[in-house]
Amino acid sequence: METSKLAYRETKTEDNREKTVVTEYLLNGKVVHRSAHVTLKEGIGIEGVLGRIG
Amino acid sequence: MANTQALCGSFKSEVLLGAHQLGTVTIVSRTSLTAPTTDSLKAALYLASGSLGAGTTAYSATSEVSGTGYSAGGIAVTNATAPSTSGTTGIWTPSASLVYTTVTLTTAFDTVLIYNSTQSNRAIGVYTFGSQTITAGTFTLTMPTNDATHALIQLA
Repeated sequence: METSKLAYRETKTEDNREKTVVTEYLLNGKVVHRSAHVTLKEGIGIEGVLGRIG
Repeated sequence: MANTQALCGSFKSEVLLGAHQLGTVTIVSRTSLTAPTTDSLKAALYLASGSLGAGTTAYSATSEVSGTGYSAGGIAVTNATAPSTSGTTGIWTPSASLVYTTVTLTTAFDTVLIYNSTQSNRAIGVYTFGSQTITAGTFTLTMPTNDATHALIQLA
């Protein structure tokens, strides 16, 4: 593959749940490499509920 | 001072540690009853068309991604940080990013299932993210901060 013909594209998106960076290399307009790095901002919370006696 | 009804914070993290057994359960034998080794966890990716959720009880290959460089069942989860308590919240987060190296996954996926591969592939959590495809590249899922409001598992 002639790397000098590769075009590089990077896309960053972010919302309240995650931050994502996608990197792509294109050859003649066709994606030949695509990686993604997703950073989760938060997991899952479970609230323990205590019953009542009496 | 007055007493306050509460589910104890220490109990929440000890549940994650397996310190309490309030009923009978069949588990895969561990090498020691008094000081059992940590179970192995895995992380499998699922197609955006899948239907995983709170009703998921165990790993299944149904709707799992497939493609070059990806092995069914996913990858090992690095678990070097034991569950702990932050304030009164029991917390746990994998200690390293999940990295699927040199894969090609052409069908959109948006979910990772964390499951216990030692204990009959029992499900732990289903986590979704923005839909992705990978072409001869790497998919990295970096974990949130391991604290009471961000940890991957928070028992509040």
